[in-house]
Amino acid sequence: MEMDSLPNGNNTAGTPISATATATANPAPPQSSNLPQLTESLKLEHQFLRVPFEHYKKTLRANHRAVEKEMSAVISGVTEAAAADLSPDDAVNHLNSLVCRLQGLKRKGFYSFDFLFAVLSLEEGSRAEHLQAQKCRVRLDHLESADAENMSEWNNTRMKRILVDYMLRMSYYDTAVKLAKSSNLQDLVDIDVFQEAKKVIDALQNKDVAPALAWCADNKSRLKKSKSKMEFQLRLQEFIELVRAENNLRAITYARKYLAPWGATHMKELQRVIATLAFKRDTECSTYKVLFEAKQWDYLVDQFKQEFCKLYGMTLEPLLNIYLQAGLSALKTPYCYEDDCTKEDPLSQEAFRTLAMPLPYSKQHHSKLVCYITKELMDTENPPQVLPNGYVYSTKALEEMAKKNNGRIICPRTGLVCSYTELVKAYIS
Amino acid sequence: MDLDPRQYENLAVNDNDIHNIVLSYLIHNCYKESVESFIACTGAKQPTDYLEDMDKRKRIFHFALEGNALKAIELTEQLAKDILENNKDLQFDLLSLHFVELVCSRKCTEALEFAQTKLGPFGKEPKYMEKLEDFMALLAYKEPEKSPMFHLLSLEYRQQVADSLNRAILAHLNLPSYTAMERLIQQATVVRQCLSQEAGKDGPPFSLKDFLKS
Repeated sequence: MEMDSLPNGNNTAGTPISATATATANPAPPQSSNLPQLTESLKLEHQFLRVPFEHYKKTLRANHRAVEKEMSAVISGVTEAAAADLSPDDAVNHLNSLVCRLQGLKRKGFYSFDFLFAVLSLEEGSRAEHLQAQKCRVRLDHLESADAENMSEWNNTRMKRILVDYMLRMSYYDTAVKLAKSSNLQDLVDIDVFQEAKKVIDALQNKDVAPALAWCADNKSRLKKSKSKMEFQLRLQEFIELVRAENNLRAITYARKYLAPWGATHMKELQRVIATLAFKRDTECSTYKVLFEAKQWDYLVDQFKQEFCKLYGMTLEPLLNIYLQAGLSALKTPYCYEDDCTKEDPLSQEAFRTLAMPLPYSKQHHSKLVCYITKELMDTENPPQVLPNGYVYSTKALEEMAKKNNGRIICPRTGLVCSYTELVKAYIS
Repeated sequence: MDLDPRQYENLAVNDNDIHNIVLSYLIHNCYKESVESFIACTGAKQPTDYLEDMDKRKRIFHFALEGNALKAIELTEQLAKDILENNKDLQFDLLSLHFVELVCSRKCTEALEFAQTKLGPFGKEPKYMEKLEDFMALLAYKEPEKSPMFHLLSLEYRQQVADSLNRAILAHLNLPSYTAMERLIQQATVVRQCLSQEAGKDGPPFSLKDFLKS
């Protein structure tokens, strides 16, 4: 009998060859293939090198400022001594204290609280520099160590790094620390950087802007270059809190000192917030009522996270999401959203469907058919064959069935019985 | 034949009409002494009904012009209760004049209380909300005269509000809220512009200033 059309809908599955199969097909790739593989990996791993480097640069700048401050203090101390009429003993004592300061040493009888703090600060800064330089070196070594022999171990380490990154971004700090420690990943993950962010975020969640403002001051030139308005947003929120507390005169003083300078670039926002003075916190006017809602602090936290990631050169999305979406974009087909999507397909699960929602469908140049009986691919070596009832199965499966049943074929879906000779070969486009 | 408006040399103008036009302008702007002097010189008819309220109108206008909005409001309400009640735009503008006066006098506490009690209630309507935001922003500057909203502190702005108030009072008194002079100038300008368009001229549009100089 002749077939006018083939009902391929139920047999089409966009399942590509898996990475494991690829690895199996090439069990021992030559050494030279290591470089392209690493290059591909680096496209998603730029923050692996950039974050500790940015952290290192920041520490260097802070230490440089601290040293300059100490030098200024010492120089003015010398000038002071030269101008004053000191007795020989007093002069000697004064110079000794200056020498101690320069050497970063403490000596009994020559330190005050401020001096002690300054010395500890310098020592701490120096140690931090050393640790961060070391971290940069460790990561370079780690990337260089990736080769054919230990690729499996390397990928396993990368998986853990990605999980730690995800936990840190979701504020699961304790879990991240434990995983990093148990896998000896401390130098390969950015826990200390995220701890810095944690302090600011915790404060914002307690409606305290001081640490965030201090962070803005520390990174003033970088934020200005990127035209950030993080500081302005923080100032607006602090103003709103003063209005909420009906501290109106302090609010006006605050606005004149901290908000007015932003008027040239953000006048509309400035005006809208200042106008709350005329409405008070219990206003029903929706334009201004929203400014007094608690969720404004949530916006500040989100805004800070974005600025923080941008400043350190991190991706705005967790690496885990990025890797998952890269994989899902290769798997996503219209079939995934139908009811009879197979359980093996990750997109049969709601969580993955949500993650894949904004992604485009994968581009399939050729149809890929999977045998209902054997679950194997049907290709030129194992071509699909069509039963009289229109159902399609692989040649291998049908041949094996024929051997067991004296040349008869029994359709597993409809129960139809026919002869092997009645089958028609199908071609895959 | 159609009259060509450009041949105005042939048009006879009645002296009485000219007198009425000038008188209208003087009365509108409360130039009482000038009105009396003009009438005496020209022998024009005495418009007794016009002069009755001119003194009151004059005082109100000047209070508004110098920024004493509360006094202007008080006198306007003495004249008639419903002038401002029926004109919320004008009411808001006058109250905002007072707010500006407080800001310029550096009386922040008073300005704040005034804004909350008198201006705040207007905030429910979008058109007032935007204006209110402009005025409130003045509080954010130590020297409001140097702020981006400095125009709200200008004589020009007060003049504009005072003019609006004057027109509202005139309307209430069933008097023309625009002078005959204004109407004539507007009419002449529009006519000249239409003629230019019809003639397809490529020259510059009609300019009253240029016309009067020629």
